[in-house]
Amino acid sequence: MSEELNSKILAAHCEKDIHSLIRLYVEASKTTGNHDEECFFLTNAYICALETGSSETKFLHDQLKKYGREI
Amino acid sequence: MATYANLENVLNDIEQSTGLPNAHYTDSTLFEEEKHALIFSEWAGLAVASEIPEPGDAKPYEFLGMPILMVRDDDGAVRVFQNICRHRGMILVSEPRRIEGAIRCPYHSWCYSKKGKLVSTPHVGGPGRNVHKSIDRGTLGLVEIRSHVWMDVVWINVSGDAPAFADKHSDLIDRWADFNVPLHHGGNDSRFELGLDTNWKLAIENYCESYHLPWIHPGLNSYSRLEDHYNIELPGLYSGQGSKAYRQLKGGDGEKFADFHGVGEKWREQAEYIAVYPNVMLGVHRDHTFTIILEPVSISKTIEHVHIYYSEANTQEKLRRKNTAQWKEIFIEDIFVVEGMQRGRSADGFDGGRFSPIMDTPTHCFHQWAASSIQSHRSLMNAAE
Repeated sequence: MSEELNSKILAAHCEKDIHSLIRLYVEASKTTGNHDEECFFLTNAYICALETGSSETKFLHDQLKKYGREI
Repeated sequence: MATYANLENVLNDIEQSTGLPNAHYTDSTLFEEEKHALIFSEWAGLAVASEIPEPGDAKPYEFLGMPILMVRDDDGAVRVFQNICRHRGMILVSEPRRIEGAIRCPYHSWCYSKKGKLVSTPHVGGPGRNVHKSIDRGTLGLVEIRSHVWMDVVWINVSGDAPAFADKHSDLIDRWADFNVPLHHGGNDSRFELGLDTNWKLAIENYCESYHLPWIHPGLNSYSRLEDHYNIELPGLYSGQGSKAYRQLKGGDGEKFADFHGVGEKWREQAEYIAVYPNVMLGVHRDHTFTIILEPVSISKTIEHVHIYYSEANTQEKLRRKNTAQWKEIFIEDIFVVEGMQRGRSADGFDGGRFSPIMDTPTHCFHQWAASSIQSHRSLMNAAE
């Protein structure tokens, strides 16, 4: 993950900007070549989506389920 | 187990009986015992449903030390949970708020639906791995506390083994069937709290009876004389008083609140004030009702949460405020009495006091319920030892 993206994530956490965190964690999941890391970030995006009732919840859940990381 | 004063005399006929011994008002050990014997085992008032009007509204409470979360789910039903995560017991919601999606634990982010179902356990099997065979989500939902909404009061049965609310209180529900209509909370000007330096039981005991009205509420006596009142008792469930001289409040131009739709002729000049055991005090009139939920804070501290309701949503604010002020004045007039009786319980050797066989029967009814419930609880505890 770039330092810039990391800073944006930290700032969003600081501001409790959950909607931005969904987008930023999805972005982070695409920057890594490591599958576990990808799922780690996708999970965080999914939790933020769940908490806010975001329309992206189902897509993220489906992704994690496809990878065997959710039920 | 400690030895406490025998309660047999409380259970005597009113002409012989005395009230609960001092320790039931001064001993914190007994407060803890009564928490289980008188409150958790019954249908106790927690709050009013109007406090969470919209789906997703959530409000945390600490009820007798227990963290509780009241949530209105997406189907509009009121649900009551222990306000803790099934993972590490962290408090889930710390202040009233709207939950848009899931209830997320602020610690490790386990998430629950508004119906209490555990829906996600992030990283529980390691980073990015959100399942583990030992974590069965189907058995790890929020701990739901039995609840029932009646007269807008959210009644909870913490022990989980009381008869269904509608069965247990069928008599009172029938008695007040005319008020089984939408009750519209008057809003912020129709709710207030009073902090009392007294044990919660004394607030009930005072509310039950009309004997004190001429002396404590002389203003009421000008139109609602003592002889206009009657006692109400259903042993084991509730007691209170009724008045046959209710007069509607009027504004400067003679305006009045509208009657509840379909309210019967019986209520034209009649009002009733009933304490539903353990901790809810209700009042009904043709044009408004009120609810007082007692929050027992400690052996000698209680908070009264007062809410006033009308037959329609759009009532006149000025008249509403006048009604709130009138009731607040009356409830404040009672404070020195319940606090004075509390201080009186420190008099060494006080025998619990005698009852007027005519005027104090509702209060005696409450004492008998309390004493018999405490005895039953002690029998159960002794059997379990």
